[in-house]
Amino acid sequence: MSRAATTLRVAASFAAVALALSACGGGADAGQATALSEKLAVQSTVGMSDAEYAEYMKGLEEASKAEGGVIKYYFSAPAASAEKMINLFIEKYPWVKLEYTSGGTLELIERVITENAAGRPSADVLQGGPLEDRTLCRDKKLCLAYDPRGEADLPKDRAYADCGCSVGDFFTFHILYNKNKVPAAEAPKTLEDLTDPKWKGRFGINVDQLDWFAGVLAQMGEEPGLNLMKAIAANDPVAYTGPDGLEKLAAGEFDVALPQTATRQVRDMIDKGAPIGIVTTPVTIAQPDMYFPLANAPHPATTRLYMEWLMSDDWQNKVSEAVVKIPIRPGAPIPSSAEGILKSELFFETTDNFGDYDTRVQQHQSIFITG
Amino acid sequence: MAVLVEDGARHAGRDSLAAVLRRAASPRRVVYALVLIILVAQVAAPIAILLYTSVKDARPTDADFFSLQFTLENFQQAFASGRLLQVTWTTIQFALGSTLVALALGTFLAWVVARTNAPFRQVIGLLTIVQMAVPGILIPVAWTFLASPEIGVLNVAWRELTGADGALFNVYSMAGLILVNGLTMVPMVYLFVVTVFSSMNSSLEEAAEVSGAAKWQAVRDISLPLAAPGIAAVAIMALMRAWESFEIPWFLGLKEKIFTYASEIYLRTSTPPSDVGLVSTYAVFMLAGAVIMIWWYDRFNKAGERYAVISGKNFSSVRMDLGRWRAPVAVLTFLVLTPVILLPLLMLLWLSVNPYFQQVSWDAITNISFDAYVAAVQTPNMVQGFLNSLLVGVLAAIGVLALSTLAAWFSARRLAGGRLLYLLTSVPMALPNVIVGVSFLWIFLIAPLPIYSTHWALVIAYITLIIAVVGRLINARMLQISSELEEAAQVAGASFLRAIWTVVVPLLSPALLAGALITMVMSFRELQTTLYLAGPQTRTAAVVMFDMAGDGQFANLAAFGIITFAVLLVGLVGYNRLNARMGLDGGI
Repeated sequence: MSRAATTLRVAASFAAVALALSACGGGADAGQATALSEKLAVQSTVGMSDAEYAEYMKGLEEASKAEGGVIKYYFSAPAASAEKMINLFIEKYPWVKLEYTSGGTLELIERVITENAAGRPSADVLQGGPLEDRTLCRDKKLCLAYDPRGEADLPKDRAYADCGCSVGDFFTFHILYNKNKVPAAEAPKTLEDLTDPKWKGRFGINVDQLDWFAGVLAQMGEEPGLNLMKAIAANDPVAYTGPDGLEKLAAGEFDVALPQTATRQVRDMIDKGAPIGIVTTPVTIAQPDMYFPLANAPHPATTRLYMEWLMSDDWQNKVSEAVVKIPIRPGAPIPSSAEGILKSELFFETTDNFGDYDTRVQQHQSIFITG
Repeated sequence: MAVLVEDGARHAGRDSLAAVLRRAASPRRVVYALVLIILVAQVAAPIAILLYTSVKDARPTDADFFSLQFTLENFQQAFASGRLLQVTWTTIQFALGSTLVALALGTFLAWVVARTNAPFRQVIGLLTIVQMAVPGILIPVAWTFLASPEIGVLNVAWRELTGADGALFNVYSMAGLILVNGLTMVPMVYLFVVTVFSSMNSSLEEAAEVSGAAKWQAVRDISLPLAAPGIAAVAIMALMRAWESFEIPWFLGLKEKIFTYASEIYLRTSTPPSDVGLVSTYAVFMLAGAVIMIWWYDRFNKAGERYAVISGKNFSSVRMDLGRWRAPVAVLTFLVLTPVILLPLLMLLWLSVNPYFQQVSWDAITNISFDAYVAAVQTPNMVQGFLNSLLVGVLAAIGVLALSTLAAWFSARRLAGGRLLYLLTSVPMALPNVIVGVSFLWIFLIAPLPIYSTHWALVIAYITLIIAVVGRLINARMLQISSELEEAAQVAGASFLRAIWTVVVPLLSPALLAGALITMVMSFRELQTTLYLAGPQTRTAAVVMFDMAGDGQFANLAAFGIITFAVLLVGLVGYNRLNARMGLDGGI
């Protein structure tokens, strides 16, 4: 009986802890979209006069407060960067509360599609790339057609007019090398250099970067691009995956690693003394960070407020410092780790030049993964 | 022996309706019905979705999903790559190899702790279990830096000590994958087998020794055969887990292009939206494999009472005296624990005090820093993630233990309908986590239930994910408990539920505690399903760690792993002391 009593006490304690925690936690169910007044439910602010824009923004701010000041943000980007970014937005609009959901591209797309199909949309803004544009905007028509004012004066190749998104920033793909194993002068300068037998088996290929693969094919043309990729693969690269690739490079698992972005992780590791050097190729593939406002966003006013802020000077001048990426607006500060792009020709990847996603996956896997 | 389903129709003509209803609503039948309903909702729904989507080319949210048009296209596609047979063969080697490693080491450790008088038994048990606290995402990372042929500290040390050119051990080889995966499964095997060994009646071994058998013969002929149901159950679980294992074959196997079933599924279904039809098709093969193993295990346990060592007769639990073998066995045990936990733990410690991985050197040692620990503790949402995992783990543990205990009782007593419950608690072992995640995502969003993104969504999904493991554990222990004990209680006037609560549950306590621990640990580690179901307020520790890994914060992640390890260790030590003070033998 004493055993039974003890077991009962243990079970009761467990249940009490659970209930207490349950009272503290509390999950949020998918929200219902708030209707936006006709005056605010515009598709673009690009053509507005200064006075019209000021009035529009004032209206948005009031509507944002009225709808609860929440922004539900879905992203697959590194969490620390996404939080830094949104926190700057909240600095400007202090009533806004961030609720974010992170995950892989596959899970987030699945969630947005299913939530909308079930009539229970939850996401306001989703951060992604060409794949999200094709799947959510073009195929499923789930994105809000909205052009914030800051898109007005962008160069043509950075405007992303056909995307159901705004591109606030981008990052670039580079060749990285271990400075303890490869002198700077001997580091490969182009992708073609890596087909040289002297690099055989000495470099790692990051198989997570399908975007780079698609970008190179788009820039070079399908056949020359594929031939180059096959030649690189024939030189026995070490396929690697996961975010510990930089640690392996720094430790000497391979002498050279590509494609690697020159974002915060690289800058931080170099700052901490990791022997990593960055090579910027003459033509550099630029991958846009696409921000998708969703058509059924439960908080449409805060969503629009965010899109306006994203393309404004407030954010564009802080992109480099806050998330170590490159602002889409030419002339805004860029991070030191990406300075090489100033001497390089940028090739911007788009949803259209990406090509068919399934085909690219199949090509990439057969060349670099399954062999 | 009691019979669950009586022939109600036989009495219908003679008895009043009230009497019939009273009989139909006997506590045992009500409990059975409740367990059945919950298990059908928990388990049968995702399996039905799996089977249905495997023969559809539409998704549940598509208009024609419920049409009566079916296709075998997914099966054709599964075979289309021409790699399925090769991948299946690789997976068989990988799964069998790692299961054997885990079984050998886990059974040995359980035997030392539960059946011998070897020194440091409690330390050995604790070290084995706390290995489960190491975040799954860090295991391949730790082993890369331990045993990569190029940079692994073991291989670098080997080259420096011997002057050899090659590597002592290649973690990227098939042998490497098998060893690392097997080592990760040792705690699960240990927990299964230690609960079985701890209930073993030593009078049987003593009788063997009195009859002239040597100690090792007593172990071979008495201990191991009596532990057979537990070992068989854990062998099946380990095999299925190894078959599904993703992180180790993917992160470590990619370099040598070693692909298993899980990495093949990942490669073939990486295009969103999820190709659930194809994933389901792959899972159908696993389901078939699981059903065959469950059938075999069920036959194996037909003579369940043969293994009932806990009965009304005298029970003696004297440990085997190792005599002069005590010290050698202790040394051997710590040699086993070295790869199981000590080496990965030391590597995590090293990663956590360096800004990035460096070879062990005096320079690196003089530059160590504890900044990562400060950063790990200050990581936004870490505390929230920790509390969410704790809450979901506690609630899931309550559900899993209650369902598993009742299902195991109906099954072990071989009552009518018991095998159905057994099947329902067993088949989820074949469900890939991604299928559980997607299925519940659809169910929670399409059904008018306000639980999407709440803690309850995770609790329900976790019960489905975990019940197969814990259910087998409890079932194996239940087989050791003779039915005569609760029958005696009922003869003495106890009700059905009271007999279960006062007789069976206390005797199950080692398995229940182990099950609770497994559930808690899995609730901290589960990621794939959680990413489909967690909301902004219900992000678990695993999701927060996923974000940290995405940011490349390995030092912080390693620091978090060490902190979790320390918390679990302190908790287990405290728990065992409490047990000892209360005079209970249910410690872990």
